[in-house]
Amino acid sequence: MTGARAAFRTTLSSVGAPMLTQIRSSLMAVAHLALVVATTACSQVSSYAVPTTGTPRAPRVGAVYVYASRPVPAGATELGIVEARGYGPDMAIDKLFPELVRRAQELGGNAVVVDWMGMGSELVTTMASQPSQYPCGTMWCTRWETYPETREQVFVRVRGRALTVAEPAKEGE
Amino acid sequence: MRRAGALATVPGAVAAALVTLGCGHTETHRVAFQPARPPTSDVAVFVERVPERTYTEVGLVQVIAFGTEAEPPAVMAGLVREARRMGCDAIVGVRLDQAGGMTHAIGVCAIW
Repeated sequence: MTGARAAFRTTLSSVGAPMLTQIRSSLMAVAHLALVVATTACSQVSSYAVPTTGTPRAPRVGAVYVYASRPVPAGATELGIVEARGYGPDMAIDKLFPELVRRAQELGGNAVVVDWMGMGSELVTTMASQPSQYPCGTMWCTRWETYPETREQVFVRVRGRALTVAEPAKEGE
Repeated sequence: MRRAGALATVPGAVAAALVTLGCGHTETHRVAFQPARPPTSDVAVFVERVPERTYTEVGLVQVIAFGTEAEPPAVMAGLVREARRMGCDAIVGVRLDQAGGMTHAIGVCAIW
């Protein structure tokens, strides 16, 4: 077995070394590209703010009152719908919640009601490419094949409403 | 043959170690609306209903578990543990979801 393995190695190294080098460099390039794509594209937070009032208000800064499970105080005015969604490493609530608050402020709100928060998933189809080797003349050439790839993408979503509260309720009320 | 046998056990040992160690991990996250509070010893969990007594929301607590650690009871226990550390008396509006080999739990940290 050892002899056969040594012979196989010799054959590869003497005849196929240029081809192996080519394949190895192609694979390294693919791995490098995958790493770049993974580090840049797989980390993201998306969000939106949709005003539901006729006249948009100017954005606000400062404190935002949160109603995550309590009823909205009487006299509150609803300004719009806000949502933040995170994928991969950005599913953390400490990344999503500040984004939700920022969106509420963008609508001119000084309060946000959290209506829903949890995890969901969707099927996403993207085009993927992979190299394949084929004989061309006396050597091997590389071509890229592109194909659709569908995968389940998991996300965490926090959805709520931006409000203005005339007189924010004191803690405990 | 003995050496070959010994070598053959290496991948097996590595696989066994991976299984033992577990191919999974758990993340815990929190958002505090108020300054840090001392840890509590008992945390009440409210899924659909809300506490009858008056309470104050002091933050959000979240646990995300992946792979072999994505067992709902363990994730729930992790949520309660983190709520204790955060000084919560209760977790309100608890939601538990599973998708893509992950389990996710989130809730509102409340104090009496």
